[in-house]
Amino acid sequence: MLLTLPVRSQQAERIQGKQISQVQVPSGAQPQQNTSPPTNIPQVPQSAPTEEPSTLTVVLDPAHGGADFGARGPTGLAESDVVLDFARAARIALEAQRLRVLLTREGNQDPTFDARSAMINGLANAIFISLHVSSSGPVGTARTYYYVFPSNATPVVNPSAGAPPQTAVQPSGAQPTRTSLIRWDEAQRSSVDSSRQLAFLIQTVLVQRFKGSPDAPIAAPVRQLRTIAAPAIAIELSSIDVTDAKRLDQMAQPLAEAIGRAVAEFHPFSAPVTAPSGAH
Amino acid sequence: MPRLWKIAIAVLAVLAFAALLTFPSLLRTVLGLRRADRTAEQARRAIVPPISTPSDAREKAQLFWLSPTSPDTLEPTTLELDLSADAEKRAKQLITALIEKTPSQTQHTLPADAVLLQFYLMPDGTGIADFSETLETEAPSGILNEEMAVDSIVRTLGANLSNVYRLKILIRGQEADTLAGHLDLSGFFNVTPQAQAQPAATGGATGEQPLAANPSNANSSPEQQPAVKN
Repeated sequence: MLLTLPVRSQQAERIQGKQISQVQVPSGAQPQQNTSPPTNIPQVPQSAPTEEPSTLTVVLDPAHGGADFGARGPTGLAESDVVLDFARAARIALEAQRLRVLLTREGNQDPTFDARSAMINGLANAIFISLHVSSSGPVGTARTYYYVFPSNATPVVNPSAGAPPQTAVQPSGAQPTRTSLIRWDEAQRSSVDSSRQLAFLIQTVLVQRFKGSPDAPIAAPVRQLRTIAAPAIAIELSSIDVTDAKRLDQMAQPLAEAIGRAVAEFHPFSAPVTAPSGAH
Repeated sequence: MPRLWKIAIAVLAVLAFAALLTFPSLLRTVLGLRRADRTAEQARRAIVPPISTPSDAREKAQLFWLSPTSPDTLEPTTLELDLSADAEKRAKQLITALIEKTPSQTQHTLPADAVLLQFYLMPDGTGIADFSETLETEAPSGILNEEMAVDSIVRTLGANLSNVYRLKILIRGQEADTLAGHLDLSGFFNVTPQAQAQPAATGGATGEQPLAANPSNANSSPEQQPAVKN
């Protein structure tokens, strides 16, 4: 995809020393919050007007919606409904910390991947948490995912049998330059380190509340995360395959508390500024 | 009892009797339609010619399905399969076996109705697997489930082929956005050929320790990438 969006992270703002308030979204996307001007610029030029640092915005993404029910349970329970309840519970926990919280959908709508991404890509000082329920898997466990990009290396077959392939690094236009324009479809490149940090924090708390969960987050190419130019993770609880919906209801509160606690500990821009790399 | 009530009861009784008479045929029709759906899928599969080559030889192969005891991990199972010496055909035979020879219903990683339409192997070691759309529509939705699906293919190819280094998944010849709504199919998945160091025929056996499909379980370091990632 050729459309780009300006990097609006602190990293870019440090480089540019100015705000970027306009985001170009892919055709077909319906940005819901992309016109909100960023209000928090941690390091602004001396000549720039100073603003009160805004609070962190947490964008909660109840996955699916509309005609897309997501996973369905044996009793007809729909993932799209369950994750909306999870998001509402998490919003209460986060707002109790005086954080700004947005939901990518408030009801049974089904925004596109890009529309959901557009909602956060227009914001400064924000994080994105996508909520899911798996079709199967150990009931009562939770997993946190962060996105990892494929390597740019292309294998080149060595004619000698049995030898591992050498790699040839292809030039990539995906990495942001100092002009800080990044490709929409690889927007997450600007935040992979912060996303991983957030994922570790959340999984550390989740494993305490949901026994049997993995100790560490998982690197997986979750599509929704790829187009988000901010710390972004996905949390998936297991599973929709329960006969008693109360078992999932009972997970809402611990999940909300875990998100609240982890977000409170997360300082999204404390990580050292590094150039986005191809693979992590 | 008023006359109108009697008429109404009589009409209802006639309707109930008619319903009783037609119910068995209605049931037969519904079941027949369900069988027809299955037959259509089987017919489509039948169009795909059986994968056999002159170089086929009976070999032990290691295939990865869900662990029956731990549904979030993959477990290697050794089967004897007729496998071609040609890498493309061999890959196709392996993935088809992964779909069709699942030990039990609960161990499926790929939908039973999915069909591998074609497998191409590029000179640079990139394998391209082209599946029917049932992979997209019938695969269980969820990050974990989709990760297991791809991981089972990647690990099976890695365990039995020495010259496939990465995998691209297509749906009916087209690049798909996601597998079933979650897992990103826009990129490639790294394949780690183990056959170079340890021939598939001698590696692994049923009852080995389950292999985890995610880095947190599979590796000592949580920072390591899972097999499905690249």
